[in-house]
Amino acid sequence: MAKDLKFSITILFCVLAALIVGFLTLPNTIQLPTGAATTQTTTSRVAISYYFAISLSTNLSEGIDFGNITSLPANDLNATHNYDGANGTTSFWVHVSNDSNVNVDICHRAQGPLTTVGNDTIELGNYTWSDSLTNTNLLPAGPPGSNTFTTSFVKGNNVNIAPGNNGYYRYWLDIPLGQPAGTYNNIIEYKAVYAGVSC
Amino acid sequence: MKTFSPLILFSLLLFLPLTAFAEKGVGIMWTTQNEIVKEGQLNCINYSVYNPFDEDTNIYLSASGTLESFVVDSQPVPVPAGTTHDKAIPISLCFNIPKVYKEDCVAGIVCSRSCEEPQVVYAGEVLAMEKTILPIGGPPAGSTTKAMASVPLTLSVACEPIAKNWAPVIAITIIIVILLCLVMARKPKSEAKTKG
Repeated sequence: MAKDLKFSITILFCVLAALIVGFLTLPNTIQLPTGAATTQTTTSRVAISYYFAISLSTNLSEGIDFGNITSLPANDLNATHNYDGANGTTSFWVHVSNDSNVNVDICHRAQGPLTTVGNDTIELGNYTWSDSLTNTNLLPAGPPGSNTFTTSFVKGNNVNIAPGNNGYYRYWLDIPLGQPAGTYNNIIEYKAVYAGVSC
Repeated sequence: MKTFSPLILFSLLLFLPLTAFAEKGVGIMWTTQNEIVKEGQLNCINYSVYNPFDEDTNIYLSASGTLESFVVDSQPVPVPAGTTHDKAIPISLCFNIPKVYKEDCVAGIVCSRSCEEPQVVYAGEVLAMEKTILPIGGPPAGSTTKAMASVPLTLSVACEPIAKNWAPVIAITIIIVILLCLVMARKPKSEAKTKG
């Protein structure tokens, strides 16, 4: 009899324990009515989108070439398209498409120095550029260019370019005496940001 | 010869604009510059790319700044010439955000997080670029040029506070107690049988 009582108490204890566990683990999902006043809400929505597109002029997209050099040192060598536009204008430009809804600044840099496959280099200190929002035989101004290339993006004068307009460029290169013969190349980048944003 | 001159001039004038304005480029459209993202999972941000210029192109997205280390490679999408912004092609850039907020755990089971530490923020730019193929024989002499369109992006990693949840510990404890109870309740019977 005592054993049965002990067994019953154990079972009762176990059932109670299970109930406690159930109570603790059940999510509190039942919401009781409170009788309080209710409010209705609605959401306001507005989505703002920006867009811009840039392109490089044909001559710029083909690269910046300084031709074949046979006599050193050479100072302020003109890139081949610096003055080959109408009336001595440049044919290097970045165009901001009419299909844009913001003004644009152009950031400019070189990925690295001009190098040959044999790792001979022309340092960026020898490579200069100028930029302007107008294109004449005098603007962008030089030689030499007012900016020396760096591997960091920088802005020049080509800022706040409105859709449909261009930013113009000219480039010059110095090649010191004794520079090893070879074909030198590098990559020049044009990064468009919307006007006022840092590079 | 004189009769040919106006014809040549006319031909040149006709041809010049085509060569001078045969441009290719890259366009980007965006609707967000700040996003709240979840830690420990892939978060994708949607952009659109377009190309209102004369030549077909392939555009892909990449990121710079502190975002760069979390970016998942974006595949270039072909964007035909004359694709205006209202026909822009959707493209997303995904970031694999690691777990950044610490949890305080008791015995490795009961964990909590107060989110009192400063919010982790990753900032940088999303860059839309043309996928270029270098000519056979390497790049030409001089500088190869590359255009890109950049938009700023800040990702703030959300921290969700977690309160200590003792329920699993209590559940485990009670299961152990029940098992012990059952063992204890049956023990005298089996002892009695062995004695009998």
